[in-house]
Amino acid sequence: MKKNEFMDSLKRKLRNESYEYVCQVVEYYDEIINDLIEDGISEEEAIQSLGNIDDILLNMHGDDIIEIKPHSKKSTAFIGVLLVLGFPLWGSLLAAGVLLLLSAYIVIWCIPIVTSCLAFAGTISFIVGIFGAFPLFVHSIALGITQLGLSAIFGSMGIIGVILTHVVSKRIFNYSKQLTGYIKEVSIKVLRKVGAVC
Amino acid sequence: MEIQLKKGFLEYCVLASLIKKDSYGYQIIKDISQCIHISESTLYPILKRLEANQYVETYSVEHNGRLRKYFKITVQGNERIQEFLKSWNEVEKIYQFIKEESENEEK
Repeated sequence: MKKNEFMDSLKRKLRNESYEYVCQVVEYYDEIINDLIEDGISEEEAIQSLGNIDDILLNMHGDDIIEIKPHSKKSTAFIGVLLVLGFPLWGSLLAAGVLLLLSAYIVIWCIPIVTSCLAFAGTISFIVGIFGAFPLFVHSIALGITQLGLSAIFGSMGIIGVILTHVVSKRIFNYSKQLTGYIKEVSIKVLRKVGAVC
Repeated sequence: MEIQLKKGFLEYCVLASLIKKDSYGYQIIKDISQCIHISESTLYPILKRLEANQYVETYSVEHNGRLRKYFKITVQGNERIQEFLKSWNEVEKIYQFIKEESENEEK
């Protein structure tokens, strides 16, 4: 049996339980199965090692202290109506939030873009300056040497730009990754609370 | 081991496995299995009960593109273990009583 089939089967068997309970159980088994697979066994073996679904549920319900609330269809429907009616309000807020986050990402990533532009401009100026210095030597040695000096300055600017881009983008990438992870976690928590996802 | 007795011990085993470091479901099963067998479906209600009684706290950590739920023992959880360890003398008395009665019966 594949993981998806196991999860579907588990959800079907738990259809009379509360939505919150089903989500928690599914989340728990999803994590366990992924950990088993990460430990080196196949998906099928991982599912097999968990045993029969009926036995699993019996075992889980065997603990009488865990309170299992009946699934409330009324509250879910009420939340659905509220979500639809409140869309003009929460929809605009959500759009504003998303755009704000997008702006934050753009502002943050402006720094490596500027340093990479510096690197590019420095490198191009260096190459053009070096090759441009040779015709100048024919007319005037002083001009040629000046041109070579300028090329060296541009070249060093390019190298500094490359180093800065490397250092800054590495850090910003890590920050962006952390921020994305945090946003993802918060979004999942909110969506779970309103019952949109498991 | 008798199921009810085992269930009683499991709760303390789970708490004990969290003393040194925070852990997650699969790791807890692996750690505890060294001394007592526990299945995934048995662990779930124990973790839920420990969480409900505030003996453990949970937090999520991103791992390989997914969220993994970690359990952390609380002060109350540590106190619970200490209470269990203190009550061991009583358990031993019960054991001795059962043993003596059983031996008397055999004679």
